[in-house]
Amino acid sequence: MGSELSIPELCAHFDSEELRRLGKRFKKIDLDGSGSLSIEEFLRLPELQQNPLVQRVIDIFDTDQNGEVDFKEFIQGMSQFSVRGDKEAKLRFAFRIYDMDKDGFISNGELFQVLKMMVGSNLKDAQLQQIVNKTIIFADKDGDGKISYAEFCDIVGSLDVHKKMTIDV
Amino acid sequence: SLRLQPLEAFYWAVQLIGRLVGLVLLVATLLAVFNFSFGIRRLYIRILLHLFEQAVEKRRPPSRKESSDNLSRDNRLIQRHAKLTTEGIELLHADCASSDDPSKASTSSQKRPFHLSDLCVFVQSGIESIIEDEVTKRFAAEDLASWNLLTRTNKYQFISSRLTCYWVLGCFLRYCILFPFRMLLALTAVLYLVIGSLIIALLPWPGLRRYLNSILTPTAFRLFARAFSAVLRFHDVENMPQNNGICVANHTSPIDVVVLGCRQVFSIVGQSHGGFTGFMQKTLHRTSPHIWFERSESSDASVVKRKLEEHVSTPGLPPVLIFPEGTCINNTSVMMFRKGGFEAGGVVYPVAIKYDPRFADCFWNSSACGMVTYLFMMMTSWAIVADVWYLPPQIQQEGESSVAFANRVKRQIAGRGGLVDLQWDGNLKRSKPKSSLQEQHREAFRKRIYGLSVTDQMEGSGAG
Repeated sequence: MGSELSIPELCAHFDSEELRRLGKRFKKIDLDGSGSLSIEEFLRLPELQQNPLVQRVIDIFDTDQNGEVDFKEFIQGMSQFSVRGDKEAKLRFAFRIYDMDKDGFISNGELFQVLKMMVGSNLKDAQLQQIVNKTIIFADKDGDGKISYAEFCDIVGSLDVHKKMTIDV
Repeated sequence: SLRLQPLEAFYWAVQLIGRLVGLVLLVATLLAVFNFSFGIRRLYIRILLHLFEQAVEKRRPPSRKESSDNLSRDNRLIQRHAKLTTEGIELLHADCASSDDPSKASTSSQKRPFHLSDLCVFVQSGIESIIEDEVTKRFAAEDLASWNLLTRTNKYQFISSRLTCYWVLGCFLRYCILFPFRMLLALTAVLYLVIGSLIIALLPWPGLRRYLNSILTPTAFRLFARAFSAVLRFHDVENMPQNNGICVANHTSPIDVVVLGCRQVFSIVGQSHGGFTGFMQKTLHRTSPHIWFERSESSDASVVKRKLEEHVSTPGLPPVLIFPEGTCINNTSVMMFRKGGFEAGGVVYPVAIKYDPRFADCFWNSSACGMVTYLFMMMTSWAIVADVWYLPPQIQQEGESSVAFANRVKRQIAGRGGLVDLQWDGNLKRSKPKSSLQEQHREAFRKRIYGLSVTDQMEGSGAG
């Protein structure tokens, strides 16, 4: 596994001290020392395991979709949350949570699936579908039945969501 | 003749060293028996502290993060803004909250229709818990703010040649001088305990046996404590556990037993082990009743409860020593207390134990190393410096459940010892949390977005 020093172009948002901390943390989570974090290793963190959106978060970190998060992906993912990261990056991250197939649009089905993750079986599908439909109608300005990134930013951008999605390493 | 001279001299030297060592061991034993100290260990600790301060000056200047770390007791990497806990979602430091989230309130109490931004709190707490989570960091050694010249706490980084020099000298001192001597002292303590207990067990009078044991066991533990160069500070000794009481303490390592056992005889409640630990358990059991159980039995809590009740109601028996966390934690926090010790009906004597992490990392990670390896690491650390606080005795109040009683005592222990009070189960070291926790959060979220009637929802989404 490369040390922090071998990824100079990535650390735009982290200084060397922060990279060192993140590296240490990465090593602690990487129990088998394989150099990348599998879902099982993530799920050994009790706080993360009870998070309804854990799968989506890990999926976004895993940019090459090989099922594991290596250190580069880890840093790049965290970088979007850094204090020095821009609002755009944070909104993009939030958008990607919903946009499961990464086609740049949140479809009705995708919103349904993510909402179902957050609510579980505590709501009937019909009730859930109602909420999804309402949300899309409200957000969909160009009438294509999906929420584009621009439409997403319109709704969410004004709420200072980017401030809620910041970590100070 | 000339050829014999060097050999004779050699034998003579060995005999002399042997006699000297024997004399020192004898003196140490006598000092332990009479609980007298020359103050050598305290002086040693002061010198070490002075040395560590010098080491800190040499390090890189503290960044803004480090200075706030030094202020917070809990040595955090980041400031948490959102936490998923067993009690719901906690929002902290709500300077980042928008107008619809009141500060420090659980979001589950606020009802509003679903909004696309609702995922933020889950994402935030997820990311934060990847970087630092409250639970797993309790199962690894505490991070120190500054290096204490032990490579086991901080990977070695070259800072200055003076520091490296200190480190090398330190290694030599610890491994080549202190360790052999401590080893001998520990062996003396074991021999003393074994032979003493064999003799006492042979005597026919139980009263006499008990009296002699009340001298033997604490002095043996004191000798053990010296084998670790232990400097122990006891506070509020007037609250010391009495006969037939139940002493509860936070658990960091097997040395907790030695620390508490220096002052009085306990009946220890613990899991029966094999090997060296099992041997020690058998030795102790010869002279005083203890409660040992199999780990499989501990899930059958009624067995332990019955044994405890029997012990507490038989007059004249020493206080029970129980560690309600059930496993070793790293001494920065107190985790969930099992209610077993609090149901037996006796008077509970809470005790808080805090080790100074600069001198040794006392946390025993039983999955990482066995008992003997652990003792070796303890004996090659600088010293064991611990504060022990005896808190006032507690009884179960009217209408208070055992769980509430346990939590109350836990809060007291955490407060006194300067430890973080956590609701998490220490057993998470070995097993995964219940899936019901995830369901709990889902249900809370559902209540938030669907508690309203249809018309309310239409108005809400119109305004949002």
